[in-house]
Amino acid sequence: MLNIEVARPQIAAFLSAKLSTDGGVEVGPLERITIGHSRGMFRVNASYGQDGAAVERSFALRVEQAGMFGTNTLDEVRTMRAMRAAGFPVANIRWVEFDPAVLGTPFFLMDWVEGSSGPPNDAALRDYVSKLHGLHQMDWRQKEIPFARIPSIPLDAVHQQVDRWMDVHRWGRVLPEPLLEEAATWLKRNAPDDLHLTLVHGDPGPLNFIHDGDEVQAFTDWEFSHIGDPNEDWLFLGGMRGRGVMEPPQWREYIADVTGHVITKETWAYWDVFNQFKGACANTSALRIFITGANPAPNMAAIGTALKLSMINHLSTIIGNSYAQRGE
Amino acid sequence: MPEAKRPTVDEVLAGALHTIENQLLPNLEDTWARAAAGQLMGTLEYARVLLAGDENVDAQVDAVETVVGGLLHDHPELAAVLEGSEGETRGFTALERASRLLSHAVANDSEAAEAIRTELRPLIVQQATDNLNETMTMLMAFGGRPRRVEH
Repeated sequence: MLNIEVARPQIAAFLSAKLSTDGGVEVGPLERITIGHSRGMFRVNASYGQDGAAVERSFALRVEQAGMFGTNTLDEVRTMRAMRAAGFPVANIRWVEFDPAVLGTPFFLMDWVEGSSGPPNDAALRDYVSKLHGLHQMDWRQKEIPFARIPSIPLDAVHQQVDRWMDVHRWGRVLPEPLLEEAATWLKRNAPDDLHLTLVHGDPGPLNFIHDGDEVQAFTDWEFSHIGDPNEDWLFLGGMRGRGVMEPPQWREYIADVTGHVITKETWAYWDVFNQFKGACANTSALRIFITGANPAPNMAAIGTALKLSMINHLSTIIGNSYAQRGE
Repeated sequence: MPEAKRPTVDEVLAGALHTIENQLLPNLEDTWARAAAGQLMGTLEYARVLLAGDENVDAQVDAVETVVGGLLHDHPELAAVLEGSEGETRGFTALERASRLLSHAVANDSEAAEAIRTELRPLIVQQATDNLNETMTMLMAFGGRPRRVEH
């Protein structure tokens, strides 16, 4: 777990080595960015002299947390850089460091993006949904995004992602979770027929984009991105992360209104199970991180137990209903 | 009945909760620190729930073993599904077997599969619900909103 008081001089030394300055870089107290749990996020306020002029500049520091959610810095950085090169709104990554001698864990530093990740106004929300739709329309085969897994056919993408998240769950678990094992099989057996292969952000919604006024400035938190079906994103937005903005039925109508992308109730239910499964598997990693002491903070305990179990509760109800309908 | 030491663990936890809520939180301004303090209260309340109840999974494992044993007795063909399911502990083995059976039932409409759905699945769902309820204090505090300490 990053101790920011220890890290501050080390970040100053790191920046001094990277930036062309008159006499080194001074770093003010690190400011914890209070969003997300997958990574430690901090605002770094640097000051230095350059060619005789005083410079004040901020960066966003994103630090790995002991395997949280089974994701890694390398994949996230490669994706972000490829998306930025493709013209998508993504923060500019200045430096990436994998040497544990620097901060004890991999991290990267981005240019600070001005704006807010809090509740967007109506225009900014609409802009976000339009841009997410635009992400799904990109010709990903032409972008050479270096994903670790490229599915051959749409159904293959579902199987890849189910297996990916089951692996993360099995890494983090203390005991097997029968309802997650059941869900993995259910998802493979019940995948919709009308699947597509597109870029998928994987974790879209409020708090994971920066907006200023009516416009989105940057999509953040790319560690779940992959090639898959776009409805995974729409359900993550409308069924999970966006519930503080409006309820799922309203989201379904809103998405159709803004993008023209219509999602049937059956497809909505399937991807709801998928995302609850994904979330529960990812959250299991927090249990291992907590009990091994890699990060003994209380949010890790809550994510690895109660939050995971609430998702299992949700998905097992939908699967149970599918059994009941089959028996009618 | 053994006589408790004074102060008891529960009294210490209650005191810690009271201190965080009344002495630390009012003086914390940093958003992340306030959220962490609220979440810490949730984990301490969870510890109190554990103290008052059962910290191990033995009773749940017993129940799973009984139902799985009954399914194997009534449907011996299910033994093939469980081949190689032994784990390092009794609890791991029982839940691995339950996992295999539930997954098997997803893809089958046999009499045995129906028995898994009607006999084993409700038990597993109930245990998951019990576990969620036991950890609910942490979920309630996850957003960082502390609640009144109950003594």
